[in-house]
Amino acid sequence: MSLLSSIFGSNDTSSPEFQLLVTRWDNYISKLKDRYYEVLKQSEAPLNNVIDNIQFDTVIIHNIKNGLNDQTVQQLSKKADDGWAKMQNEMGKLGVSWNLISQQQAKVDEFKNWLAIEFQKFEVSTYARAARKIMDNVQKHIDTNKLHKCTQCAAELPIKIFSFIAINLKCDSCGSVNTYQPDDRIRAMEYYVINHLAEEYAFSAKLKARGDKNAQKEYYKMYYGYLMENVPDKKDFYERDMNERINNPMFSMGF
Amino acid sequence: MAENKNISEFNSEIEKAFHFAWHSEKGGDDNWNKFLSSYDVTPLPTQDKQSLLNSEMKIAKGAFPIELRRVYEKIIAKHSAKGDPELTDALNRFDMESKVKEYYQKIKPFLGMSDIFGNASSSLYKYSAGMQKEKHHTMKCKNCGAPRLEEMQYDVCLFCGSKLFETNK
Repeated sequence: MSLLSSIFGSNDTSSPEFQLLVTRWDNYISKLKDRYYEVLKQSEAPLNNVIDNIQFDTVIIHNIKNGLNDQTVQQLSKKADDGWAKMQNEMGKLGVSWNLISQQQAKVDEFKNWLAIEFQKFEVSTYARAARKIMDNVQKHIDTNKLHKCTQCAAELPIKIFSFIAINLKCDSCGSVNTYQPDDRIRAMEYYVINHLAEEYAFSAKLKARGDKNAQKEYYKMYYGYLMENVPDKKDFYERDMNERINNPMFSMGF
Repeated sequence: MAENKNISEFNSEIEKAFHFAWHSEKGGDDNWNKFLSSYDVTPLPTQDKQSLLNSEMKIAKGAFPIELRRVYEKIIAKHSAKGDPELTDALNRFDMESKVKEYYQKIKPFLGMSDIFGNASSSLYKYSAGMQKEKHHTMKCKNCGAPRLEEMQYDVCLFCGSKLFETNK
């Protein structure tokens, strides 16, 4: 072994021992990926049951998501780190160069990145499924044909049942102000349904935005555009929020 | 810098004990008992083991953490006697609690999925239960009964001049 290679390690990728380690390492990561799918597969039936029985909020989905995140993203990332520590040690004993070791270490970051994206896909689609079920429940619960009459003169009032904020409405007939507070189930849809459907709608842009700062603006435009269209009562609020996120560089750090 | 040989020996002995305990049968087995006796540690009495197995702290495999802790204590005592300052420093830094906890994490049963859904189930109906139906009313003057006539009328009744909204003083 030359002096340099004895200091910096060998760049020889053809050694059977090194190839064996690389194969072992690749198999290990592949098993971690299998484990990820296995955990999600196990969650499928109970999750379907939860969504079938969900009412008007997604709090339970949030709690389940946290548990599954721990079982998959957190634990498997830790396993990848632990596995790499052992693998690095073995490669060091073989005298493998830092360059080759770094190439293998990069697989840990690739795996963690893959894990984060896969879990995000699962999260968005699960929330969206729950949101559709909630929307269905709300529609069954609400009488959309109900007439709203002025409390003073009984003239018909143009109240939109699917409103997300309380409104004061002046009766065209007698001039009295009627205060209308929408059903809590409808108001809750803003977060539990529309927010999640907006995330689903803008998700492709969100994924693209992970490595492209310009795509972040596209994500914000899609996400808030969906909210503005479906929560017209709060269009101005969401528009302000969107412009803040598009123009303030602080918000480009969150992806 | 080369690692101190005494420290290496200490670390490998700790790891060996960890793996011996971890790979033994649930609650310990003959091999584990032999390992314990090699350190002059007495295994827990059968009655105590049974009582622990029936306790809330479930294990899926391996020896009981308390027995591993006793082995660790013996290993530390053995290496302390060497009088090597570097080793003594390493022994002082040895975190017994987290090492025993790490071991327990390895031997506790995986109840993952049922735990996740079991814990979450309490929140299935909790937040939807109190949701209220729509409300529709007209604010009226408490003095004369005149309805509020302007959307931005937050001060006084336009008919009799009484305060339309009362605030707590």
